[in-house]
Amino acid sequence: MKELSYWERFMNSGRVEDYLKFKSCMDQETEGAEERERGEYPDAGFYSSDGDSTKGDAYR
Amino acid sequence: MQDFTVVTGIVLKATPIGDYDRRVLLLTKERGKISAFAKGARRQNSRFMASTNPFCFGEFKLYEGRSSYNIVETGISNYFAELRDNFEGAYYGMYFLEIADYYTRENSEDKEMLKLVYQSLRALLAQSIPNPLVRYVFELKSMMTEGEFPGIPADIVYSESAVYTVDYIAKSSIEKLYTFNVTETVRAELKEIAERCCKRVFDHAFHSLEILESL
Repeated sequence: MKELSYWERFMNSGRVEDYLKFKSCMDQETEGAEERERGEYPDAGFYSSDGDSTKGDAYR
Repeated sequence: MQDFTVVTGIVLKATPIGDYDRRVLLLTKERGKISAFAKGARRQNSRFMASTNPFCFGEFKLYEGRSSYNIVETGISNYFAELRDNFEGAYYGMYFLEIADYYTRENSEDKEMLKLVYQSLRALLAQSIPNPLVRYVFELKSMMTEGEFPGIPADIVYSESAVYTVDYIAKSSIEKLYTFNVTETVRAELKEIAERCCKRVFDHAFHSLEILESL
């Protein structure tokens, strides 16, 4: 949906820079979609947390 | 009880209004150029977000409010989305929309201009004829359709092929307009004829043309 906002801005301004921003947004969306299609999830399997690691047997 | 009307047309322009709304300029088969309000069209997940962008062609269900039409539903048959992938194609498309906006009047029927815009955008996507040729044909045919074509300039002798091509553009139906191609020489002559006619007829500078000329 973000690319549609950039597209609207370009259609109103007619500026080359606005078209390039739109295209860049489109390319990022396409890249993300392709990664998901290939089964590549950048954060898959890795949980990062700022907290301490869990402590087992805490009830003892 | 609200009175709804359904029109077939293309979005010429879309202007943001407030935080979430859009004012849309439509060229329609039934009512010529009309302005319509699309409430909430710029909200995330709005059903009007995509369908009220320029180039969208299809059906628009409207109700007539106090000061303008309001879009209630859209049924888009062609988004011409591929034009967005191509920088040059986008500018040619914008140019055609600008000319259509220039020529058409509010609430004055202009079916032929709508057909011309639609077929010309399709020709840009088909790429069977070069974009510059689509442009010259569009410029000449739009003038002819609106009764403003001043004729081939008489001070220069153009080739038989160029004269025949202009004659074909004048006599052809819009559906059969983009079914030919020409040599580079004839294309250069058409460019000159179209440029001279545009200079004579259009009293307006088209923003997208300025960018196209610089490409």
